[in-house]
Amino acid sequence: MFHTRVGTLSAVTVLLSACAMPPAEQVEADAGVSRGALLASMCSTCHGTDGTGSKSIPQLAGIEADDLFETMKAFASGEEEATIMGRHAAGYTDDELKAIADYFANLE
Amino acid sequence: MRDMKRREFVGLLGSAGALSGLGVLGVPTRVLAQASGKVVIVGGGFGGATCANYLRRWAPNVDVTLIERKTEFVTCPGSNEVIVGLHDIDYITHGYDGLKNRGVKVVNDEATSIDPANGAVSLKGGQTVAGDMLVISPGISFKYGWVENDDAVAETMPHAWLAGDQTMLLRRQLMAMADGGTVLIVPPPTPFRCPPGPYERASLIADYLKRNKPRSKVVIVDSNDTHSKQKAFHAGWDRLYPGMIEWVNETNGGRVVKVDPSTMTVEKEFGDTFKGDVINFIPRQQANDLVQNAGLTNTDGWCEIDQGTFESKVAAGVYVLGDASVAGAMPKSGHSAASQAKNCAAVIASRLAGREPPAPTYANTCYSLLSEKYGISVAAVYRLEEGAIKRVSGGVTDVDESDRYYAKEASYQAAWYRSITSDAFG
Repeated sequence: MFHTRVGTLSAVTVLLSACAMPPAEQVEADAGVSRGALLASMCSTCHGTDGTGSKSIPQLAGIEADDLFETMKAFASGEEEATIMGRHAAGYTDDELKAIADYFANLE
Repeated sequence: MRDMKRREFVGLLGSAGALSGLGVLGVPTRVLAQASGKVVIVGGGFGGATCANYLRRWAPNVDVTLIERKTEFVTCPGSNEVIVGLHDIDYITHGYDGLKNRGVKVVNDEATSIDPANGAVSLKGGQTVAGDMLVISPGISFKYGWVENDDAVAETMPHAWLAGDQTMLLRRQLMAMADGGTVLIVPPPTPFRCPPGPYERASLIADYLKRNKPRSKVVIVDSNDTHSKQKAFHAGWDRLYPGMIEWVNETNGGRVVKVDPSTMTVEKEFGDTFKGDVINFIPRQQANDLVQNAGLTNTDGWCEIDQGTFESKVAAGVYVLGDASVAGAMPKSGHSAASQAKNCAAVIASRLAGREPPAPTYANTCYSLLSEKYGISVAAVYRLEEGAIKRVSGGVTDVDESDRYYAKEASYQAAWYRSITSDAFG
């Protein structure tokens, strides 16, 4: 989980403390669109909705967050050879890459 | 009446955020905290379809209606492959069942006019559809009057810049051409949809001619002095099709003044002409007539938007996506439209829930094929800086990569096509 979502969830939890907890998916809907979800959706255009992969483009869902983060850093520096991934990875801050990595790590 | 209701609604949402969703009895009113309301989307291409899909994902309680003239959408990406026979038209044709299954209400009717102040869309069938927010992803219309006769040659010199029947017409003409013929491609002045498109088309036509009609050639009569992915295209042409593709830029005689289907010629200034056996004349472009008529365009014919939210600068509650919009450094591509659509969906889902949207983020990837086994790309990430979308990373494929590299880019192009269409149409 990343900061924005944790913060939002805490606020919702406090508000609801006097009531029964709603189902998990309802809290998820209430949390709105996280920055991580929006950032990760940019990857999905090529890597498939929810990062499921498409033909020769690899799956991202379920990759350990550290692995994905380190790979993106290596693409950005040129240490890891790629076609377009260096051009993409260099466009994001470390915090953004971590939010993306956390998002995909939490998917099946 | 409708206008007042809409303005009150938006105002209420603003205060709902400040009240943290507490209702009159001091218990949480989940209705205010959750995104709810009705969003009407006009245009079922990459922008509109992706926006509909992601709104359903991110705001499951929002009622999403998608208005699209046709029951199936034929994409421009991939259409050059269809023109040269690498795929049939089915490959680039997508229905809306995927979106219907995700709960999008798809209305197959033509939007004839938009009333931005009331968030209402009039349909050809007589119905009027209104929403709390309106998203328009209308694509382009041709802006005739660039050269003499340019509004009268779609059947004789097909543009194939709106995919479908035109794609198949150009394909038939190309297939019927005799060996030794000349294919003329005439791109319009920028800005136009899919900046690398004419040059990918020249490449794939040369590939087809090399294999089937090797004494033929392609001439690009260009009203521009430079073009998208120029070095990468020209290096590939030298490698794959030496002497087969001639590019005549504006300074060196590419400025056309007239097209004449009776003689199959394209006339330059001072009366010189290019003669073609097949002529692909691509007219000048602007935002679709629907948004022109609704007063949503600037003097150049494109829609000015807040580049962070895609909300129109001239109509509150109306969002414009894709080729029709002025989106800073982003090119007019299907991938750009999809990227914009996700940002717009996040903005609308957040605003309808009375929350601040996440900070925007944008990306584009455009592959071009020079042959089935040779692809090049432009890729970039963008950021909002001082109100404008600016490029922060990216670039074009280098000219001295290995065959293996170009083959991988061609492979990724096919994978990209499958994922972007699935991400849009479900």
